[in-house]
Amino acid sequence: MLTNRRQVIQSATVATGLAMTGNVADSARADARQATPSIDTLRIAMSGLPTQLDPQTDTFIVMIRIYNMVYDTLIQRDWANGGGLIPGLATSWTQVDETTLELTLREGVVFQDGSPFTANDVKFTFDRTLEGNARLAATGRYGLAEVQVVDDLTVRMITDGPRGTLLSLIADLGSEIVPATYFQQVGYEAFQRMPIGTGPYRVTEFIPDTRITLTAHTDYWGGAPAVSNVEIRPIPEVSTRVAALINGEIDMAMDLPPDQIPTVEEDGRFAVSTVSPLNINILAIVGTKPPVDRREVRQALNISIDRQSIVEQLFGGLAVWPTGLQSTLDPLYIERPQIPYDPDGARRLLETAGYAGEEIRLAYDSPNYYPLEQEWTEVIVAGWADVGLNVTMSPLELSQREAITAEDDWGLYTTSMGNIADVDLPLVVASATAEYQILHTPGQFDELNAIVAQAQQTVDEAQRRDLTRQALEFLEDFTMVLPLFTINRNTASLATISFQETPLFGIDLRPGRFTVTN
Amino acid sequence: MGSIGKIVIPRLGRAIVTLWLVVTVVFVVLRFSGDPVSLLLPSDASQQQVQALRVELGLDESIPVQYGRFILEVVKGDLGESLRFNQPALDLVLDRFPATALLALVAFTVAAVVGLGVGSLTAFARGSVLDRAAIALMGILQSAPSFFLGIMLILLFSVELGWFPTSGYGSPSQLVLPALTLSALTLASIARITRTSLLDVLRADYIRTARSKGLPERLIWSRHALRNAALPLTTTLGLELAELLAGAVIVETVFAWPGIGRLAIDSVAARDYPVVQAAVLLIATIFVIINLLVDLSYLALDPRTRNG
Repeated sequence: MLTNRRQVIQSATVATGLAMTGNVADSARADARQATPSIDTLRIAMSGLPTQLDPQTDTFIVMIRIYNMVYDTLIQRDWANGGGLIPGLATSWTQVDETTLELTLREGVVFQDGSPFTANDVKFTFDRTLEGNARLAATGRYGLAEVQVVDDLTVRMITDGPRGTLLSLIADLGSEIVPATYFQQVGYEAFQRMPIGTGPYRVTEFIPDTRITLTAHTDYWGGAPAVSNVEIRPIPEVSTRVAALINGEIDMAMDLPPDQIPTVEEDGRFAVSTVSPLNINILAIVGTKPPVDRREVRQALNISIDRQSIVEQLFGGLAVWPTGLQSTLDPLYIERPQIPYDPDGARRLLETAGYAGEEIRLAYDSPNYYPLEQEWTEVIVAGWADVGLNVTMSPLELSQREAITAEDDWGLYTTSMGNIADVDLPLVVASATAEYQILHTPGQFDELNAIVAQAQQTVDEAQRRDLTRQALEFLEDFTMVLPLFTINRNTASLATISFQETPLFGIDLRPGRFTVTN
Repeated sequence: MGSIGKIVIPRLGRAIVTLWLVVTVVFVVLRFSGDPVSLLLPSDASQQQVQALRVELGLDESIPVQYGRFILEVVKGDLGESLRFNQPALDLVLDRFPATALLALVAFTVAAVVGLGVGSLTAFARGSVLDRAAIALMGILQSAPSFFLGIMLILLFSVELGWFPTSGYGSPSQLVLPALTLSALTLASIARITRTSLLDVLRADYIRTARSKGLPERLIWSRHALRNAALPLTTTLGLELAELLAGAVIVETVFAWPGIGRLAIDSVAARDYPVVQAAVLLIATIFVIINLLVDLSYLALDPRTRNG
């Protein structure tokens, strides 16, 4: 395996060396300045490049984007129509009994090396999660007991008990199908750098921190992609990314904070697409030490946040003020009223609680992880001060935030979570098995744990929806997780390109979801 | 030869102690300030999985045991695998080194040539309008933050004039703006040191003596002034070069330049211990080597050191 990896590095070095001798960038820029209508290579810049590309190993945003181009899942989500489940590499599925899901696979699908996709690849992909490999994010995720190959195009997933959330998980991250034969040929480490999948684009060059080049998979089962090549470049600094777009060096700039949108729109050649992702920023209460041990204090914190003003003024409307911990794209979405802004109510609650200005420490990410995080945190803290809540801001590095425990002297910390109930509610609770749950107070939530565990084991959708409602009501009542808002993800691209990042952070260049007009 | 040996051998010993100290400090600080496992695994990872990964990465051992193992591996030349890239840490750092070295050497050359020139010129014409204007300009270059300078250069030379690309790595035109930005601070400090050193030397007794015995001004400069001013300058130039070679996080970030600085900072944020350690070890080694070269150059420049 080592030789393979070295070859990749060597060829990458050679490629760079060649580019140094020619005026590649110069001529590319000159072309773009003339605004050539047809695009042969789509050049996308984002804030960073992935460090590896095995979809089951890590699920960082920059990686997910590329996974979406390289791989397919068995079941997809129909983002344009409410987020329901639609066929992907599987054309149909039936629940044979409470613990058996049978999937019929799409015929005639080939991987990017031309080899056919069969049930063996499905078995290989999900078997990887059963090997106990600690490095894989997908390990142990599905509650699977066994994956059975019935024939080339039929596969059965046997779970260790009833698993109502299995379909959601199969459509989620970490469930992209990897090719059994190719993977075993090249090995894990080489696959992380030069993967293949059944998706619309194949990785043909991967130079860490410099660029990833992808080439169209012309035999893609969904039809040939609209653009022959895609080049992904990391431009970490936002101002540079925008300048590169205006200068014609790139066709698309992702990770655009709201304050940069006017600059891009003023130019006239670009369109900005915006999407509300499956992610919600939250404030979590740490532990049950005074004064946040009193529910009235927690409720006062919750209703004295002016979410609407933050969404409208700070984010220019490019954020969503949610009704709870659920996205409207959740198939189990339950309509609820928006969280009120009621400073007077908060003052009354604090009086009832006998709160006398005790300090509450709020840990937030430094350096900021989300756009405008410092600003919104300051606005929230100022609003709290207005109603008499004494909250102090303490910056905390990301690698330390994850290790916050109930014993720490924090009152609150900022974090974020997914907002599809089936997939994400199990993360909230202080269960015995999850290490980095959002709430750090084991024993406080036995009732919630029981509801969520039951939902995971319920196959019937109506029952699962009811259990989800109970869980959300419990959380709201207990007020240990304060939903803030969902911040839109913005991408600027040439106006001739019709593109939208998926709510799950993917770059979806599949025919029909991405077009270039000439 | 003997004198070179006398200089090199004790310094080599000191160099190894320096490297050991640097690596040890980095090792300890990183391990007391964050957890890579929590960043590598998703939030729904089970306790067993977290524990298994700790064992796999050797993070379940006590810090003294981890440290002992680490030093043993380093002595054997193995700096471990990156936790994020799943590749040997040293390879990753060495892969970035050409980009860093290219940028550093070009920036250093610009800074040295222009800095020495401006410094000598202003010393020669001290008190003049030219001198005062140059000092003011150097002050601006020295105090302008490099992200500001970098973005201003991008706006002017890329967006307005369209002469150079904004960012990236690969073609010579992509090198211009980051190299200019990076050279600014170094250029200014070299110019200042050159001017000050020359002025110091010009006030010295031996210059007065040379003048009084009627030596032509040209010879005073070349034989006495520049040669004696070269000593403090060599030290400054050496340190500036080493600093540039250590990678420039801000310039690399602004211009999307794939150098060591960005790799190191990203690795610190992710607590990718092996990569941080490899990067720091490489940077410390560069400092030690350049210091050694500076010391050796004294032998050539200053006859007094040859007898010491």
